[in-house]
Amino acid sequence: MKIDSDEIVELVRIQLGAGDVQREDRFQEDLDAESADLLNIVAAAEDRWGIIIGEEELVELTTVNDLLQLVRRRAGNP
Amino acid sequence: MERPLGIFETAETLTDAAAPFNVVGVIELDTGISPGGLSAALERAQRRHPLLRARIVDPGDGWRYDLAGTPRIPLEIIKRRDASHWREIVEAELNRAFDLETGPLMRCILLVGKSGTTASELVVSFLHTIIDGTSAVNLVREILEAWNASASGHRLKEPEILELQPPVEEFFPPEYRGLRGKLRIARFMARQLADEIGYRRHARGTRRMKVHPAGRCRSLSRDLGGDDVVALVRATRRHRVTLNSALNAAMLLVVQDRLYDGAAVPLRNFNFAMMRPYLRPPINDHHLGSFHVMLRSTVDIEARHDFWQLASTINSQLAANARRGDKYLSLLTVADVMRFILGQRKMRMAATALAYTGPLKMPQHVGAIRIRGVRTMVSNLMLGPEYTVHARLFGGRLCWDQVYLDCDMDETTAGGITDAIFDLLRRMAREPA
Repeated sequence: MKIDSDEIVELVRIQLGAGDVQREDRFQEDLDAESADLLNIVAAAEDRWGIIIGEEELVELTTVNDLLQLVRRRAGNP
Repeated sequence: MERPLGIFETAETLTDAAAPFNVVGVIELDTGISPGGLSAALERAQRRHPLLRARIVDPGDGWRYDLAGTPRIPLEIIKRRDASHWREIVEAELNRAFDLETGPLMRCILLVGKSGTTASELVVSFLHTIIDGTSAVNLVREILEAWNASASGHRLKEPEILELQPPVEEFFPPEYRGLRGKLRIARFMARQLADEIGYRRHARGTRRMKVHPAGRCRSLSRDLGGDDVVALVRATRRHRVTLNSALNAAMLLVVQDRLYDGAAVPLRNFNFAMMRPYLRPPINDHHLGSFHVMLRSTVDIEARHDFWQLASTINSQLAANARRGDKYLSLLTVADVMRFILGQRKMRMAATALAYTGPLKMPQHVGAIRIRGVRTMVSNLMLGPEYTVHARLFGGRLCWDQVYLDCDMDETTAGGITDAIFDLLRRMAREPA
């Protein structure tokens, strides 16, 4: 399954209700995301691509790009 | 080199003046570590981190950090009696005050086995004023890495000497400063007052928590296994609540059942928010300091309240607090609130407290050392919550470290509450979708 970076950026933008989101944005520092926001983003990504992301993997998710890489790995699309 | 204590640092030090207010961590190791190497690693850490050289003095105009003339971090070596010996040490450390004026505000105890290769435990204690969970974990990792490098015969580079950071409030976004900040504080205080009035009205006729003249901290640690954690996380994702909200819901429902006979009751609950990434600029994890805040909320628990409905309510409540910036506002007002509560000594601040810090940023191996477990506890005082937990994920398990006061409950009651929380979590995790 091909996962385009724009799809991840759009998913994050919708979940956060943010105007502008870049791949290099950090969830907490740049986008002010709280743990409940991160949960919604991860759960939406799981539903959208039929993947499972473990709780302990959440600490690896600093930037939007980290999420993209994790989703791609999980979906077998490195 | 010195500076006045900030707002939250002052609140924590006021608490310590009423009863010891320490963070105590236990690092369970599968092997022994040499006391000589550990002592050198501690000395290196003390050179690097200004707060490990800090004393707290009051020259007459309020508390200040003073970084001059502080003795070395004490390291005590104790022969390990058995696998549970550390719990006795932790309880003593939770109740043992630091000498703030002399310093240092950290001390270590190494529990060593009969031979150098058997399991050992490193117990580290800090005055809470100088450290939060994030920087404590980072510091312990740094100490173990320095010990491992010297044990492997590597020459260690001289550490980068860090500067003492200003207090957390100096890193707040502009909307929490000046006149705009004052208006936000006024609205926050009005909300807190309304919450207080509402709580008192709803709590009328229900059990009142006793204020004891003194109490001794006891601790109890349990783990929820990996399979249960995985199932629970899947369930929280289905219900769109954080693991933190689900853990809070379980804790509150069991406390309601065990201490309030299952009756409808408003319960006050503390949660804790990490400030570091939200500060301007963000504060790196390797700087020691108290860059977190406690947030109190009142949760109305109905008789036979549905678990997922309560978890969802807590989730919404925490999200709303975050949107309103309550973590900044709570911090800006906490010293005055603590002065009032400690001055009155008439009410307990909350029924429960849960500090869930998520997956621990600590590797399971540091060189040849395997870390079996990490425990963290914080002293409670007689005005604090009845049921207090520090929880985290480590090695796939949920580590649940409870602190309670011996004047509030005995070990059977405390253990019974934790067991019931785990039973509820297991049941909810496996409920059909």
